[in-house]
Amino acid sequence: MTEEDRIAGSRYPSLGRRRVRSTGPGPGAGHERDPWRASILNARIAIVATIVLGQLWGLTVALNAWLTGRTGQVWSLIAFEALSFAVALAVWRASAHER
Amino acid sequence: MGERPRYPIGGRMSDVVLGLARRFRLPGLMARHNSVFVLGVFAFVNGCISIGLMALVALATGQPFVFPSLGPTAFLLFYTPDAPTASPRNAITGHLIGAAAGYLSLVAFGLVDAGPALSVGVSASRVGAAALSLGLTAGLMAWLKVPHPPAGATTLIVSLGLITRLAQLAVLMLAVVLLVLQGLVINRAAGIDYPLWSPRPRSR
Repeated sequence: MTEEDRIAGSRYPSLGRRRVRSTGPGPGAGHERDPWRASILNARIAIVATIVLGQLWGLTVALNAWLTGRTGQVWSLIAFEALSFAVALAVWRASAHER
Repeated sequence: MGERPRYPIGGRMSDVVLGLARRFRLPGLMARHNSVFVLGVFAFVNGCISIGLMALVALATGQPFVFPSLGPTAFLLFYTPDAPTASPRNAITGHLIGAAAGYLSLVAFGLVDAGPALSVGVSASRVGAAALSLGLTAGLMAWLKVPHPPAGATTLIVSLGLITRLAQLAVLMLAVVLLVLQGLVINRAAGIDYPLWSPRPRSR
């Protein structure tokens, strides 16, 4: 048993010795034992899904701008896509130690 | 240079693109709604959204809200929205027939508790179950006049043992209903007269 497991076990005795390592809040994710962990995962998924939806909309608007010859707007949208991708990546990795 | 055809890849996807471009006031897309490149981008964005939403529901609930035959159904809903095969009646009844025929085949060949064929291999009874399920599905869809080709994949998913529990089959049907609702909302938003249940009668 690792130090991390021992600390978790002393704070939350109901956890027992076994730590759940799988990701995703579905069955096997351990939300019945680690309720806070499911919340983190759900929040992370919600944020990233919203960003991806925004990126898809950005892609549509960029295509429209390109077809109407507004290249300046296209470059701004490409920058937005890159930035939002970086934000999504940062959010996804922010709680990587929870895995 | 000749004019671009109205439906360069067949189907009515360019009408869906035109309707959505009008609604969201995207003049560039309105002018090029029948370009193959634009149609490809639309299919990409729409595919990501329609199946992505179902996959998110599956992730949040831990239930099989996403399964292989939803893909072809989603494509049909936006490629040929006015075709009888894409109507809510055909999509929902077709998948229901597929799921029921698949489960019946599992029961008939004693495979309800067997593992999936992709893991445990194909046995003689699995061959019988797969053949019976697809035969039943194709026959029933023809007799009931509700053809929906993706239902052929649904029945094989069940008869090959990938989804075998009745509760999972109920979730599978709920997923089909949710996808059809998405199709209804997006097609209606695009100004396509997508039916609420039965396909529209064809005008000569």
